[in-house]
Amino acid sequence: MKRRTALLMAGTIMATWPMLGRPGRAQDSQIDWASELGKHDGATLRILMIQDPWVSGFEQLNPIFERLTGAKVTIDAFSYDQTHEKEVLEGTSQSSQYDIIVLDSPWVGEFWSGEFVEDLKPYIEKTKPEVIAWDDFVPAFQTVAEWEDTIVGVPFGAYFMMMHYRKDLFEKAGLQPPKTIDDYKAAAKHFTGNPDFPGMYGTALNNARGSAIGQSFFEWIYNFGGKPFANTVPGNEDPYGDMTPQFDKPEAKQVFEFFKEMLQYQPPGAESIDWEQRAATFTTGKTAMITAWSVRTPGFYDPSQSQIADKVGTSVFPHVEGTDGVPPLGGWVMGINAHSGQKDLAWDYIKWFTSKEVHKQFVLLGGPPSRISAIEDPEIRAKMPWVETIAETQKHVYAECRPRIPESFEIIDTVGLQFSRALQNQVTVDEALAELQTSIADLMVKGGYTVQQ
Amino acid sequence: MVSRTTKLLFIGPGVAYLAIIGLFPFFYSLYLSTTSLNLTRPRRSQFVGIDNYVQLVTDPLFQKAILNTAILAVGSIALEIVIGFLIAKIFYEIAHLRTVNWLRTLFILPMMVTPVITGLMFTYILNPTLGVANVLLRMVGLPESGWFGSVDVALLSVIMVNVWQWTPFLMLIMLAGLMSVPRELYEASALDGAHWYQQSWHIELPALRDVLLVGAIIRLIDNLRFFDVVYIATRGGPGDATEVISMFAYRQSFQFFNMGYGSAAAVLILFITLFVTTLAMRYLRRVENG
Amino acid sequence: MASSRRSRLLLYIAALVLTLVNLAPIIWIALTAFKNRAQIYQIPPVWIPDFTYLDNFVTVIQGYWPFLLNSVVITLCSTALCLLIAIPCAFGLTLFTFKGREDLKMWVLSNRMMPPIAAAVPLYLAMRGIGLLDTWTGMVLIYTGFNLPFAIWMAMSFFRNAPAEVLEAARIDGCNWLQVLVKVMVPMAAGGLMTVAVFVFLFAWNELLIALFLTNRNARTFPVILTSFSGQAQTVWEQMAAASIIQLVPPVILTFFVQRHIVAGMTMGAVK
Repeated sequence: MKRRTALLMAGTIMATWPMLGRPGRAQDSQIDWASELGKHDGATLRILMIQDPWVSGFEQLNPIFERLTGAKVTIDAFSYDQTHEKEVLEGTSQSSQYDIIVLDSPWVGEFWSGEFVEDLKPYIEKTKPEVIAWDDFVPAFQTVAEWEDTIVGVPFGAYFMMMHYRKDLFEKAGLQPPKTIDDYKAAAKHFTGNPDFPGMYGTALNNARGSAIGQSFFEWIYNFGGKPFANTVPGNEDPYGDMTPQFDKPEAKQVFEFFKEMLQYQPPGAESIDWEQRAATFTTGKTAMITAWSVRTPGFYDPSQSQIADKVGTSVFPHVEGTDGVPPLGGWVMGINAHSGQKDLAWDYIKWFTSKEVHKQFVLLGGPPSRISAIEDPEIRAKMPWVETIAETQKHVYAECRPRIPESFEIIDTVGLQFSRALQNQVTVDEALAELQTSIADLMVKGGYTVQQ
Repeated sequence: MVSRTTKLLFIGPGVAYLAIIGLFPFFYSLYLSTTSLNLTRPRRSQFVGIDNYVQLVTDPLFQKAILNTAILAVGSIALEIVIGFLIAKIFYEIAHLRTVNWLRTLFILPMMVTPVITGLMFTYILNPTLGVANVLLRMVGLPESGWFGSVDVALLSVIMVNVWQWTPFLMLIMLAGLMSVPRELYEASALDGAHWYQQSWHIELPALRDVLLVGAIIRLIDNLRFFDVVYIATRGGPGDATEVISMFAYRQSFQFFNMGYGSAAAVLILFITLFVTTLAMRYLRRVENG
Repeated sequence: MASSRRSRLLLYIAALVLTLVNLAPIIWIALTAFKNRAQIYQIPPVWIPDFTYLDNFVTVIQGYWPFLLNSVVITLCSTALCLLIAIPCAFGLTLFTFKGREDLKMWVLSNRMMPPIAAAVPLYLAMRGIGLLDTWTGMVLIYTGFNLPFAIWMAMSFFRNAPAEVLEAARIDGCNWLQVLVKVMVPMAAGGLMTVAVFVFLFAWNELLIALFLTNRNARTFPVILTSFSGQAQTVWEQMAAASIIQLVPPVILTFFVQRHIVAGMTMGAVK
């Protein structure tokens, strides 16, 4: 966004700031930021960030912080892989280049064992409850931010996976948005190659080799009533206590076969569809429905980015009949670089940015809602109709749906490789699963986890 | 005649500089490759000797990577030579026309494009949903392709991109070679009634042999470290269809942060390249002196 | 082949068509740079965009000009430094004789074969150790090092062709070796040395992998920016296209300058 426009918007927000606080008055008191935050004149706060669409929201809000504290805020944003790489490299070289770094949910364990981030528990305990409002964060996401009795970051960008569908097409076909996996299959079949819907395909899934399809496995396994590891299932108190892989169970096979079966309802080139492509097939009107992370949803509703902006509907992630669904949960927490020289300034920023008031502004500027207060806020609901689906979704999500242990990346990528090979018929489903059962078990044993052989 | 000091002053800085930049990374990688270091679990690193290498050689993904890299190298070079030769012939025949210089300069532009940009360009152009390639296919009535996304076509797509970028190089080399073929040979064979393709086979190709080998060797060395396009376009997928050895090393070192294992892969790539290079050097030396 | 005018014309047309086909991807990206977001996603595609729509270029330059500056500075400085070291070195290797000279030459060239992957981490740790991470100085030093083998070898091939008598004459006149180099050799090989400079420039200008690791906000170069246009949630195609075109400007211009010498350059003097 152009600098001038950003400053103009920031100015508008600052001018109307006192008025904006009012609707929430019934729920929480206006916080006196001037006394809450320290004075940091002349300091520069440096943030390492993922380049997702809501970065412009940061850029618009930061001038307010700058005015309150006298500090300057700079953001360096990178692609997903580059952010991961940079943060690990910075961490291992114990650099103090950045003060605040962001963590994707699966990185939590890795960053703690690598000693890259500060334990935020002491900071939270020092902060007034109404400022930090920890229990206002989506409950599952509170768990995501916690690791081995510490708190690794503060949630600010919770992503939920939802079903997005074409209201107009479903209405014409007389169908309801799919609740179960069988519904999903039937609907996908209905829209593919159907003369009533020329040029249309049922859906698109994340089939691309690597993280795309690797993560897909973890997104769907619970919704087939299965689990990836012996203990990693909602309700289990010790999710990583027993890491015996469950690839030899029927549910794992069902996920693989489901993806294979669904290929026929997807556009050509389906085997390499990733997040970007999946969204593109939807916004260009090629597919009738897709599951996608809520971070992309605002884009679907935006006429400048989507050809179907006024025809989108959202519903909860589908699951196998007879079980409770576990919609996938993802997203980002904000942590402090363990080697930063400005930890107090960093904490001031974090507690300010993630506070209820500022978070609400962030959401209104396109940020992902991560607080219950934001999700239930009428103003937000009016502007962003899909938040209603988020409200329902967040009740069923599971913090460990993608393992948060240090080996997470490698697990997901390895699963991604074999899953992709099975999808391409380079190997049979059984061969792929058998290979995973042994290679993942080896990985877990090497990492020192309990595995029943 | 030339004092020792003078020799040292002239050559010393260059050699010393290279020794630092070249030898240090090599020995450090060698050292890392004997450990089990992972950057996010630094305290658990141990000395493991040649275990990493053993594991590497028996790793099915690495084996596939070597196979893919070989296919990429041989396939690209073969196509570049054939296509490059035909185009070189065309430019050779019209070389004396005035605007041909400009045309030739334009033709070789792909060679100067940053490999990363090549990757980005073709990711867009061959994008199954948004790219113009499928639009063109549809316009002529052919079925759309998954390009980088289809397991059968992905490696071919990568080869195609590679050939696009480097055919001009081989074309130029062969053009230079053709220009050094004496005209009398042509005239003599024309008197004998030879067709153009017979002339190609009997006169031109033998003359180009040395030049072609130089070009092929250089392309081979570059293909062994082929990375940018795969990194941008496919990440080694779909499945392991486009997994090349440098992608493998990159993933181990910079996504999993298994520095020990990744360094072993990088060192192995280095050795393979050096081996091929030594052969190349011997040959180039012969060509220069001959 | 027949020398009839008609077949010449046909061949010319063939060359023209081939060149256009070859350039098509680049042209397509250039066109893309003039589109707005909606046009990118349009099917059927917009063939001729509005050429007055310069927003993408403006956005990219406004937002990223510091990195463009970094690229320019680092590239120019490393080119200069590289030539400063390579030229005397090549001169010495060509004209001075000593034991092991051939082996030394081979070793110099073999350094070009180092895959960047192998060097990335050690260089990162080393630079961090000396405190040169993310600095212009650090990047200039690294790029110089990477370009030296190529520069030395190429310069050697040009020096080799210098007529020995002219150099002899200068020595007899009482010039020391430095004067021979600067006053005689360099002017004589000026054309070739310009070519070396161009190739060294291009390598530094286009380099990605090392820059990815060794830079942050201070010294980050433009190629790194190119990869940042695709995020997890979206790819900003139109800006990426604009940035690509900007990145391509120096290589294209320089191509026109050195097209005669490119073959010699790429085969490091083995083919003239």
